[in-house]
Amino acid sequence: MSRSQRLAIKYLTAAIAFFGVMTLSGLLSAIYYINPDFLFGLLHFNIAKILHIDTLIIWLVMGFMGAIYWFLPEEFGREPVGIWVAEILFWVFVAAVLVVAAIFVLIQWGPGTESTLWLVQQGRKYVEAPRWAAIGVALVLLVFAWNVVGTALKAKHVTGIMAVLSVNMVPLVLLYFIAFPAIPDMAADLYWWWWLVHLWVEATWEILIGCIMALAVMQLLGTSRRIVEGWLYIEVMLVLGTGILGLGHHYFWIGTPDYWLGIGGFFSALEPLPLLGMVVHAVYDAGTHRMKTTNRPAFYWTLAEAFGNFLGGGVFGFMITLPQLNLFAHGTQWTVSHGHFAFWGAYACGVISVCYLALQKARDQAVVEGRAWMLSFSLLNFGLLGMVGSLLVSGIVQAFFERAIGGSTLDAFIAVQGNPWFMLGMYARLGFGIIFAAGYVTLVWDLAMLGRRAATVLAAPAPAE
Amino acid sequence: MSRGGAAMSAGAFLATSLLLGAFVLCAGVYGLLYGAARLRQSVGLLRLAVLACGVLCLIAATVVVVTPLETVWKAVIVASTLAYCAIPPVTWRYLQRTHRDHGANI
Repeated sequence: MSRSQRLAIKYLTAAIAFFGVMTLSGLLSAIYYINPDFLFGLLHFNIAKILHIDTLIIWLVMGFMGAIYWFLPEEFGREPVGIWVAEILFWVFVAAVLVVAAIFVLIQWGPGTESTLWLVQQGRKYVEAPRWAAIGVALVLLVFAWNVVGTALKAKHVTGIMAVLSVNMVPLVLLYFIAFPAIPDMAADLYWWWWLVHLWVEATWEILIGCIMALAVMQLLGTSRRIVEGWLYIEVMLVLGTGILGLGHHYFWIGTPDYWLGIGGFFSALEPLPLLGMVVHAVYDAGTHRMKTTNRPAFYWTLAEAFGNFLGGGVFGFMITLPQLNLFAHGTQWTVSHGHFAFWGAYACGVISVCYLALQKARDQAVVEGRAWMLSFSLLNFGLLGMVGSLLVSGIVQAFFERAIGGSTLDAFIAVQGNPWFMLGMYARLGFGIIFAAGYVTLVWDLAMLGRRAATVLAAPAPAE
Repeated sequence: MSRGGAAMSAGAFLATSLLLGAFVLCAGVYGLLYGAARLRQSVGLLRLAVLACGVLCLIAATVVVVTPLETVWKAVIVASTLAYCAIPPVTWRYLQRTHRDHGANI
């Protein structure tokens, strides 16, 4: 393995570890909805939620970086430029995340001063990390971009995938700088904040995962480069055409001009169209390969990515994206349901797929098989489907009784928090969350044992000879 | 917000949202069945795919006729229906052509 690939394994390992923190803090957050006194005085709900959503971002970013560091040397035939800096920054990144998590837990409330923004937290959803840590993240991203773009410039040939990836590094880094300003006007702050949150997730990340899956599919199925590059260009075109102005669906009720209702609704309505193409492509690949591959876990997680993206982003998103409907569903558990499903389908499945692909080569396995991956695949997807279904029930109750009938009053909000159907959804979400967590534990065990179990089986007959 | 649309009652909101979810879901089922039908060259599966496409069109018609969505959104639904009906066969043909032209995988 090259240095870059050893770094990739470290990043993927850290990603899976933070996936665990996300799962645990998600479970804790789910308990608060059933028992608001849970951990009273010890850990506030908002801190558990911050840990849940921030580690979501962190584990996916680390997963993407791990995937890119894995494929870079194979694409360029050389070690990435400045890999030694990336190796150092990996440990800085991990240490910073741990320190920030400790700060969140140890300082759960206090004055909102300038020093709070620099040292404790910035109080902006998804990018709560204090400025010192945000500077660190920006530095990690800059070095990551340097590794990719610098290597592309030094290499004698640049593939289409690497060209797309290199160009995508520019918005990936620049958009993160929106994590810094503290704008006192909430509408203006949210206006720019969504540039980071939406355009990272529904534009630059989409292109990033598109590049990663293109590289993964070439390794996994041996698909020709010209085919995957052709599809990647189509995806980039569709992302630029629908994803960027789809930003408008976040601008509906935050004080922006009315024209965003039309822009956001129209471009969001187009977003499921390319996802249907992905479903057809997944059926084609599954069929032509007759579900046979040397790495079934990676292949199944790739298929889960296509279907999960369509269901979570397409179906669940389209239910609430038109302004006349979003007026009632915005910010309810219905949105949470869509968010969970879309993140899972669009990104998480892809990162898990790359973990299996990288470990197959890292541990020199001709074939990856077994039962544990099937169990973790089933538990994780069943748990996730159950969670989003439960959240959907609670969200519908909120949108219907609290918003549409109750007129979004405080009384209506309080009344719905005790609605038996709302609570049923909350209990069910916790139950399915536990199943999901069991799937996570199985996944960790399977990844840790991949290749080592086979060695044990092969080694076992030796004493008898 | 009533450009060509009636007032959105609580019941109408819920029905419209669920119809739109079913609309995209049907498009997915149609794409899945269409792909499976072409792979297995099965007339039965192709009929089921056409049936799913029919249900998709029926849901779109219901959204247009029954729901209080504004006219512009109804027009988007009609245009989306045409796109959803076309995407599976067009994608399939493109996939076959690219795999034939650029060398098949495996």
